[in-house]
Amino acid sequence: MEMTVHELAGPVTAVRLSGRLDAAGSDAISLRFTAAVASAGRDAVVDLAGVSFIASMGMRMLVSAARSLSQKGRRLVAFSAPELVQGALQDAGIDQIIPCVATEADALATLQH
Amino acid sequence: MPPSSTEPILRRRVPARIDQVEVLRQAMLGALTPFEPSPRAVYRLELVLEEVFVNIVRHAFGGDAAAHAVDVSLTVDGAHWVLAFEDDGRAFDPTRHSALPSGPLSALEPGGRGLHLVQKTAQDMRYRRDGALNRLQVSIDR
Repeated sequence: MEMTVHELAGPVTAVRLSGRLDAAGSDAISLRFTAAVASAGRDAVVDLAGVSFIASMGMRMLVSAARSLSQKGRRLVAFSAPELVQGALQDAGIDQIIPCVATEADALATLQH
Repeated sequence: MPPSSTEPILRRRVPARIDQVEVLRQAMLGALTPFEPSPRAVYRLELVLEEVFVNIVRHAFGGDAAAHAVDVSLTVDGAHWVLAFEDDGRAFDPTRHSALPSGPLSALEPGGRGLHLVQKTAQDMRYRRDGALNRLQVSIDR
């Protein structure tokens, strides 16, 4: 499981995840992910294009970060999830909690509303 | 591709440890290869394997998981794959309705979606308590 973080223009943190967000993958990056996203206290966009698999522990990591941001009046938006990952997110109702959009531009636009 | 088999194409007993999910996954992928499953079927099988196995390890043994083992098998049954799990942990029926956490995001329980995912993914789930054993069969469309 790999994770890269970069700061976009404006008050947004962008994180790119790649690999398997299963129990082991989530355990491997959850502390770094939380530090990069939730602790920064900025809106965040998360690129899921390189995530080949997500299970409930990976979803838990995303929801936990989104919840922390929500408590600070900030938001998290996910984008570019592959079809099967997007389907799993929908099956678990994650798309009702965290906007899951097609592109980074869509994600940034979502943060504007 | 081989149509089906009454005998499991995979049968493993592994220690009740989270790291065994990957061991089982790799064994399952090897057993599936001759059947050329679709990416969607593989995803569903991996999801059910992960969610059920992790749930057993984390909740069945009351903090004493390391002393226990879990039996997992995979069978081809006509139009379905059947993943079967057997453990000697506390009785637990994962086929009972599992509601998603709800409420405002700022107060939302971040976890608790695993069994709901399994129920959404499975075509059929059958559970029975057999003496000291939990026996669960999960059918997944091929």
